[in-house]
Amino acid sequence: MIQNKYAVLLADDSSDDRLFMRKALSRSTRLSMAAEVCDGQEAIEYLKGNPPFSNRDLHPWPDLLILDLKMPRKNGFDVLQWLKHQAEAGTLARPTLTVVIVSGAFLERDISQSLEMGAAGYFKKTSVRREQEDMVQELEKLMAEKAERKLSPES
Amino acid sequence: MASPIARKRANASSPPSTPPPGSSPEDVRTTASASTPPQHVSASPASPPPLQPQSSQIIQHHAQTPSDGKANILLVDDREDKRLAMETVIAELGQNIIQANSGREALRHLLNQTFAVILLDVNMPGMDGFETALLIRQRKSLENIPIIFVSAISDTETHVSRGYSLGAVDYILAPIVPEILRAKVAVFVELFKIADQVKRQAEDLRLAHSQLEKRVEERTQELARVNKSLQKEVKERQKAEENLRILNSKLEERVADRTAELRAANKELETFSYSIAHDLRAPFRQIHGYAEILEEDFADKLPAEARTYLSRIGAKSKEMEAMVDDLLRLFVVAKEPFDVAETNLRSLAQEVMANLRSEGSNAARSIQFTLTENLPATIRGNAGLMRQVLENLLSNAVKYTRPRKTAEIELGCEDGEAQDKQTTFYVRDNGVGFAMEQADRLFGVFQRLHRMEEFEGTGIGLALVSRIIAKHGGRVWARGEVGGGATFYFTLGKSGHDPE
Repeated sequence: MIQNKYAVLLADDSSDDRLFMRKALSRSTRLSMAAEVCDGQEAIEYLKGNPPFSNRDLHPWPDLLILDLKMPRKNGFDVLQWLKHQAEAGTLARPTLTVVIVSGAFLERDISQSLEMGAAGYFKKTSVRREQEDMVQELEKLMAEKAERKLSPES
Repeated sequence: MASPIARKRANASSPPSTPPPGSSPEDVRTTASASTPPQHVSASPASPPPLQPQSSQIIQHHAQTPSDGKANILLVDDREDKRLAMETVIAELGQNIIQANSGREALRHLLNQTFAVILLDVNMPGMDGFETALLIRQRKSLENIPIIFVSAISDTETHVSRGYSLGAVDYILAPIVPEILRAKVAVFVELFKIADQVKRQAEDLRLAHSQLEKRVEERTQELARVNKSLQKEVKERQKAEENLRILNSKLEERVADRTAELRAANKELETFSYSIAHDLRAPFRQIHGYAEILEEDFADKLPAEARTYLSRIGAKSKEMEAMVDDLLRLFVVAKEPFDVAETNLRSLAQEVMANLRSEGSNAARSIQFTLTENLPATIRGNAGLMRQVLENLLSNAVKYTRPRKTAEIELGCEDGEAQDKQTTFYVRDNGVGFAMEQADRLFGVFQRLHRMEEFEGTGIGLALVSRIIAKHGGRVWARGEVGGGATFYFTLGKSGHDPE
């Protein structure tokens, strides 16, 4: 959390899409872009806290990871896979990370595979303002629900 | 009675031409012959058979056993009266009695005829009984013929034993006791008849056997013939099978090659469609995104004309993105397998119609959707794909009825033709229609009948419908006229409408 906002790490190889996402998040009162990385490999390095991301003051641990699927080096699925392994081994620095996929494609196969591998949601990239707002709203809701669950784990 | 025999015996050494004293002259014999009962075959000159066989035909005839079932008995005696006496005794047996007055004549008869028994007088002038018997026995065909010697000489054991050594079967001593003579001859007649019967049966058997053999032979040949043709057929079949096997393996090879090619092509297509999904549509989305940012963030800094162009840029890029999405759907339908299940057609249609009504209706026009009564509640199909079919057909109908004040759009079905019994569904509208000669262009990819300014669209919707319907095993077609509305028909094949 940064100033009561959820910290977001965005992993997307397209600078255009990163710009649109930045714009979309800028309108949110609950989400804040903490950092942007260009591919899955960088995302993993960031989460590991490896250089150049070793300074957590500059590179804070995110509450939400927004992952693109199709990226060079390591793609979104690779990151999901890595996270799953870390969670199972208990080696993840903070196990509270929420991951959502925001992809240019809306392929049935991609969606089901993402959710199976631990993604909390799947969103289609959009340039339409209204759709962007819907997405941000959904993300906020998702994080709020998670926070509630954390407060009362019984329910 | 002893004296004539003695005399006769004495005469035996004398030349045969000299009749013994007291014996019957030749004319007596002739006379006696004439008086022979008609059932007796006589050796008299009156008898038709010539003394010497004239032809083989006659021999054959005589060699045959008498066809009247009677056996031949040969009486050989130089004395007419004795022959007559014996004939009288054995005539009762009812057989053919042939008489011979000398050994020579007896031999002649024996050449031509078969006899059951020979009654042979021992004492005859010229060739006596023993000599005659010797000659008879020398003939192979006669070596087993029964000979009963008739002799008046009762005192000489030698005669009897000599007679037996010459092959006599029996010996009768004169004076003849009729019952004994008759009984003995009867025995030989009986024996002959039995032997004859056996011979005939053997002959019949031989004949039957040879006929059987002939038939077996014929049958064997026939079987061989059939067997040969069968073997030929088997060979031909084997050859045909071999050819088939070769063809089959070639075909399998080609199928395997083709399958591998198709698999590779499919893989390529998959990569391609994935690439379309992720990469190709991105730039259009981004163009639209930048246009929107410009419009929103710099609206006050842009002249009105520039804002118009910006919004056009945004719209065009959206259009392009939609086309890519449609194209992608087409790929997915073509390639992906899908599940078919009981699908609620009516509620699906009502949902789609509700969405379209809210989008398409305005103050200027109203849209009237109708579901016909006979439309089945459920069909067998893929819900997601069937939704796309209805969305495309119904949104088309909404689009092309835009000039109408009231759009009338009906979803219904007609009972199938008798042949396939498939239910035909249709979407009918009262829109601008189309010319029937362009009907075949409707379902092609990127085929459009209208200018973009007139009616927007990607030119993929109906191609997608056609592909989805084809995937369900059905058929799609359309009827329309310019200005007279359009009707789109489709069936769902065997997997489609369940009549229950």
